[in-house]
Amino acid sequence: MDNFSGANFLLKRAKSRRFVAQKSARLGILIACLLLVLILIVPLVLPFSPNEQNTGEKLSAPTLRHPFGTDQFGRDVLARIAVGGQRSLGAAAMVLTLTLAVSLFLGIFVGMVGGILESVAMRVADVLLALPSLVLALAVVGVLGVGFENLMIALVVSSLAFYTRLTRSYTRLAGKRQDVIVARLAGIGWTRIIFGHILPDVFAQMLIVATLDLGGTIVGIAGLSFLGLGVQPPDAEWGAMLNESRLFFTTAPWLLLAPAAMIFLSVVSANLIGNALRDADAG
Amino acid sequence: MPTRVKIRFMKQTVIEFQNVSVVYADGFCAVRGVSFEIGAGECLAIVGESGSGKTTISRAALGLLPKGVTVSGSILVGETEIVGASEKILRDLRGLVVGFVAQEPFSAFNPLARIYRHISEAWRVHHLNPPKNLIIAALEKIGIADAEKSSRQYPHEWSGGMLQRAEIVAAKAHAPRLIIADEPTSALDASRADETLTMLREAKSSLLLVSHDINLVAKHADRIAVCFRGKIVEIGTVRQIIENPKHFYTKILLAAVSPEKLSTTFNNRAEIVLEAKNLSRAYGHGETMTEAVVTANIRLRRGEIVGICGASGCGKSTLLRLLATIETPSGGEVFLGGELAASGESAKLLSKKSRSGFVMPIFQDPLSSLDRRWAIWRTVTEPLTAKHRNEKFSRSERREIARRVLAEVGLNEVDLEAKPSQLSVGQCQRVAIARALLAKPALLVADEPTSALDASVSKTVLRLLARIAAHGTAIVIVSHDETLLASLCHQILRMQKGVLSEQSVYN
Repeated sequence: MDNFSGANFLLKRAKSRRFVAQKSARLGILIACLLLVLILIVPLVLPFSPNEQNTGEKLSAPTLRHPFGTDQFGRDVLARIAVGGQRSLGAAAMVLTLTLAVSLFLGIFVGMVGGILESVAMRVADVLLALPSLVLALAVVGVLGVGFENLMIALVVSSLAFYTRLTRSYTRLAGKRQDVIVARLAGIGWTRIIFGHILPDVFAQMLIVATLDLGGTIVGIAGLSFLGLGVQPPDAEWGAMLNESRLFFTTAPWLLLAPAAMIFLSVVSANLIGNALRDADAG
Repeated sequence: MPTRVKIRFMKQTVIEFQNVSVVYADGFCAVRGVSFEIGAGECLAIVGESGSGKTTISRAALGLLPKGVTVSGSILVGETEIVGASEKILRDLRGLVVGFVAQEPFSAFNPLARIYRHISEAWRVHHLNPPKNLIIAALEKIGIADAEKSSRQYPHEWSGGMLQRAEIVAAKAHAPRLIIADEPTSALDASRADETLTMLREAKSSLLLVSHDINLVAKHADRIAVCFRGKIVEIGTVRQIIENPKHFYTKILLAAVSPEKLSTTFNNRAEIVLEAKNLSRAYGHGETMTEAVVTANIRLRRGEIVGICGASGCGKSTLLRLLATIETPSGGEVFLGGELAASGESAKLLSKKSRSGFVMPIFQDPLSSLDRRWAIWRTVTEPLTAKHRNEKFSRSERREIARRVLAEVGLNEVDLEAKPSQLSVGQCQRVAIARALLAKPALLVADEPTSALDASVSKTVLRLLARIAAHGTAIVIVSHDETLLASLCHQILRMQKGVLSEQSVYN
């Protein structure tokens, strides 16, 4: 009798279907798949290793043998792009996972406890937010020393304030939800409420934020590596490759183009997927 | 001035629907083969519940349906075909020939534009000069004091009733042949609603009135069309429909107006479940302080049902939150089962009773009172997992219990693994009640439990509440609808500007 409202029909469609229905989502997934094939499969097939030097083929333009050309040491750029991508994208994923984990813990804890602790934590976050995140990351690398792991730690630290703030406000909102009120009145303890009602909701929303932020993180890693603060030679990484090729960009522009295009494509793909995820969740 | 499309009126019929069907982009058929016509000066009211297609019908008449919607059949305004008409024809039609009054006055107005601007837009969109004096005079006529000055105010400075009347002024601007009003009174209280409809009738135009309230339109319309699942199941003069309804659904709608009496009894000497003394709640400080609840006193015994009625914003929801100890009062005391549970002196909860399922709430919007990520068996049996309960249940036991309780509220056939979004609003409300039942509360607080529900479903919910009370649970129920409360409650208290009457207005 009461199952005929038009809205029901729309609601029955799952979010995943709304996500895939978007053209931007499909394009984003397509680019992401191509990139994954490039960085995961290509190194297995390619006859060159990324750090293998060949002085006979220095700065060769793209050929069938070297589709992306070679660099100043005669190393195959395609191989370096692929292995560098593993580092760049892997690091971006790692940074976001770490940031999410730490900020979910901090944000939910602070949001649920409230009171003075919350005020103090949020003022600290305000101060951190006032510093440009790249400058903050530079400072952290300066303290910890140059290295790829330290660069990742620096990026986690610099984005933590923003994420914790957001997690905390989502937690506050979730804490006021009616299903949470009912659970409280029924006598459910806070731990159960947090793990049952609040965490799943906050996590889902923060995951969308993180996906939207993936592009920025990729650029951040590439940027710090470009400044020479990340991967050290001879290891490949997209930002570091840009830095190395900068000296040759009049004579061998392909050296710049390949990593730049990769950064561009991965950021576009991450943004498309992030946007589509957000719209699917809101719709 | 641009050339206008001439809309000819040769007949007495202002608008005519012939076998109109509307299919949305996702394949949902909102309107199926609807036919009716409205004569000059006549008022036809379309009544039905949410989702019955009545709004879609009114939108189709203005060509306002979103992209991707397929309209078939024929809609004639005068002798102009609307179905498939060009945007230019439609644009000339709107305002000049067909006026529109929207449901929600606050969202119909641009919050950043002054009232005068909104009304004068009726002229400006057609490249005409707005006659300022006429507009001011019209506003004064509908009872806006100092119209010259108030028309320069912003929508948030006006009340919903004033805005709705201003909207009617805009709709009547060009003395259109037909005015379409979609739930023009749903944001207004009873007396304002009556006034607004009278104003709409005073215009010489024909009127297509869309409403869910058959009682209200019966007073103002000439004819009523009853809309059910996208079809017009009955159409006739007000008298025919009210006195001799033929379709079962019309009967349900009419029955909702005068609900059946659900009598339960309670013992005058039974133990006191809830007692509130001088309860008050204020928000803000100093000059901006508003008192939502002012020294309210209330007492409930086992099995007693008390209704609290009042207009929106009178503080009745806040009172309910105070009674349920969801919020702490700024003055006074709440006793649950004889124990002091909350007091104005302390921000903390004083009794464990208030967090032990002793009080359970039922909210207005059932969908948001269920966790949207949880299967309903999990939601329903959640109270069993409370830490003060020593019994532990396995997942399969919980499913079994959920099946039993859901059957009790009449949801035998619902899939236990369904998420709230897969259920109808009415089913969700019954899931929420089942959950409350399982906590075995001594007190149930219900905030407008039926206002989101259809007439037939809200009847089921009210019956359910009566049954719960018969088993000894006390119920406080808050509603703006006094007839509804009268059908269920032992006493009704009226609330006005935060003050709860001491005397029951009903016995």
